[in-house]
Amino acid sequence: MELKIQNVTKKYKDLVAVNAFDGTLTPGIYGLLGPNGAGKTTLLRVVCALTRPTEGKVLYGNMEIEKLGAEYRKVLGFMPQNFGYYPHFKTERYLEYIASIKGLNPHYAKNKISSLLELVGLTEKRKSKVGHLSGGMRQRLGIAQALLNDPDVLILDEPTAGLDPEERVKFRNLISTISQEKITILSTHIITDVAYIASDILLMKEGHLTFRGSVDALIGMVQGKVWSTTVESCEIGGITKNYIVSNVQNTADQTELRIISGDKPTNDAVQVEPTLEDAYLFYTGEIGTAGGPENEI
Amino acid sequence: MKNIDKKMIRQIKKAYPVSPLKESNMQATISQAKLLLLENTKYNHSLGFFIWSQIKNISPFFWLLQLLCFVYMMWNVRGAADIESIRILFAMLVPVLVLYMLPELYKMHINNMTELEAACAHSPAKIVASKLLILSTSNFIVITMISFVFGLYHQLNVATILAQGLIPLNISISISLLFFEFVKFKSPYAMLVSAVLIAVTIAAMMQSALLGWPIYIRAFEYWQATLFVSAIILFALMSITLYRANHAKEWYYGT
Repeated sequence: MELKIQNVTKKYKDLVAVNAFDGTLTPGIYGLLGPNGAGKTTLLRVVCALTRPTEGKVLYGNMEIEKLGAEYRKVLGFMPQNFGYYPHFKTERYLEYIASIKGLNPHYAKNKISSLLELVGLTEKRKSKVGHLSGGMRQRLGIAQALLNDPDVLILDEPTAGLDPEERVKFRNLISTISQEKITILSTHIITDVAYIASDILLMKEGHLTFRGSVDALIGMVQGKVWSTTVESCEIGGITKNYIVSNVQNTADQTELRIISGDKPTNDAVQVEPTLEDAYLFYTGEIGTAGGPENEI
Repeated sequence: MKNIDKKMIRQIKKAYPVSPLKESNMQATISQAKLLLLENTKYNHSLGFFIWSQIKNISPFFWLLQLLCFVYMMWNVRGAADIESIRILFAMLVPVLVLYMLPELYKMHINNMTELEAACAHSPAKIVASKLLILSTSNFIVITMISFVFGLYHQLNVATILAQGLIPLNISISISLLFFEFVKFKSPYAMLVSAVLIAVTIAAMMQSALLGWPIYIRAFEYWQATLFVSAIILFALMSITLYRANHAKEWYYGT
């Protein structure tokens, strides 16, 4: 089971949302990271066959997904960023409706709905209206609907957006449990979501795939480049202009900065162990003017 | 011969002893087999489930309208004794019968379900097609039932009465589809108000001596041709709707 994304480019008039994205995905959890506007959602829409790439193609089992059509959608589970629901639907009815448009048979759907409601902890809410569920419960319902057809390819677009930390941990564990033997792409800009569960990180910036590899490999790229230093408050402005600062912590009279830089930023700076967040900032270069390498994959 | 066979079987059974299984293990095996069977047949007989689910998803208000229109027509069975009167009744009621088609077709977009439904095995085109089929079939059934009652009660030709209902039905559905394709509503209220306005306008036009009524009457003098033309227009609009629904994703996300 392989999902090949071959040189996919997606343009919207003058805007290049995804630029020559190339990669082969085998079963595992892929954390798709990138700042807002990096092209993550567009890439997922291409992979879900919701939109045609301007150039390139996506192959599943060596067949173009567009040609596979419904056969591909039968092995696909998708949880969009803001998924909708019909206002009068109750939890169980919602899943039943999705099962019907996924082309499942009613007996299979009934069994699957019961087991999925149990898995996502919504059995007691089966008769509650979807609109009355909390944000976390609704996200879990989103996961359940994506899993109804027991998909081989599971696409989750920002599944933890708007969840509190406890819900996010629950959600992470749930994804980890259900993703066995599936190609799972988890798009997020919350780095800790993928740090624990992703087998591979796909880092996107301005439509490009800038890094692909394990969490450790990504962290390894910034080994020796993360510094901790204590500065006076008045010096902060100058440092943030020239360096990527991943953390600012104020103490009584001074400020402790965590800086990502190839060179020692200040005389008293000491090297510290990098985290995934440091590596992410190094590649996306969100803060300050000193960005990371752009085309290193 | 039979005895020899039995003897042989006993010998074979002795040669290959089978230890008795625990009941719990047997049940576990059966459960596993059931699960496997379900897994292998998970896409069997799903079309009926799909259609039934679409029927269940149609607003009760739509069914209520069908019932109300039917009751109103039955209430007028005695009064409308000739084709002319039946034609006037149909021209007034059929747009109301079709009124809720527009909100039903728009439901997917307004409730932000397009993306989710487009990633499912049954494409948006199939979903729109099934809705059109269900809604127009129920309209057709109501009109047919009314035609039979009127035909039998007044000893009139049922086919002629049916045609008096089908012409406004085709026109009303066509106008609803035109709105569905070319006017994009953002709010359910705007859509519902528009649907009501369309129904009232069609009904008024068909009644009004100043607007459509003379044309309508003239057209009915050649009702077979009118029915044919209206059916062709409806078919063309349905085809456009389904074609566009098939490409809904590209329109939705741009190219």
